[in-house]
Amino acid sequence: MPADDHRVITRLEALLDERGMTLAALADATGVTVVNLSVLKNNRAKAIRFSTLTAICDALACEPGDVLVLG
Amino acid sequence: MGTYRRSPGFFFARGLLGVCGMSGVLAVLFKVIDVATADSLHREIRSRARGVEIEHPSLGLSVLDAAPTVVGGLTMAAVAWLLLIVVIDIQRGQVFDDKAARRLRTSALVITVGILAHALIAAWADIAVLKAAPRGRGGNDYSYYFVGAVLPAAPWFLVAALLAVFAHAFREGLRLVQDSDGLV
Repeated sequence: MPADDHRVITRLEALLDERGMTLAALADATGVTVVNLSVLKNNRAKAIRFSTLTAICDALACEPGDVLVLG
Repeated sequence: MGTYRRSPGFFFARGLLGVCGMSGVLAVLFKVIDVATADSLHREIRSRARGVEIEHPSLGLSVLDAAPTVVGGLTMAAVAWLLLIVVIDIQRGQVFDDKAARRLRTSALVITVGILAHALIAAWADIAVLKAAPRGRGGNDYSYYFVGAVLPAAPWFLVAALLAVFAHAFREGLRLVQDSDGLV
């Protein structure tokens, strides 16, 4: 299966908007770089580490299913 | 992708490969000049205690006598050139590149083919020179002279094997880089 053949999309932008949070603030809270968060937000990521997902969910007080959905 | 690495090891490797490549080119050059200018032919036969001396050899015999050296020199120069490019690419931070894996694989192939070609031609030249010698000694046992030529070069097969393994490792590295691309 080709690496890009998936339908997983991230709802990071919507979650940030709902919480009035910027990407830089999320980067500070999670320790993940702004560049990587931007890749994730713009659906250019091909894979996500559990540690990254855990940090995002902790910072946004949400579940993994809120961050990633099937499009 | 990155920064230019200035570790002394890179300059050491580049220096050694430069010397190897230049040695190969000079060996070919000197042998060609020798064929063009020398009046006599002296050939060391590996499986014989003494060398063979022939006055006023034919051009064909001189070329055949020079051919193993030319093949060996060209092999060394080609492999040194390929490895030099790999070292320079690694120094530039382009480690797991498809081209690097291909160059390593090609180097292994060139060494293997070069050694075998060198031994085959050397055996052919040994027999031809011995036949043309004043007392016409020697035999037609091609395999005897081939083994005599290939055995001293056998350690180079280890180098070829090592390069082939490195080529595989580089391909695996390239796959891992592609896997981690886009991982956040």
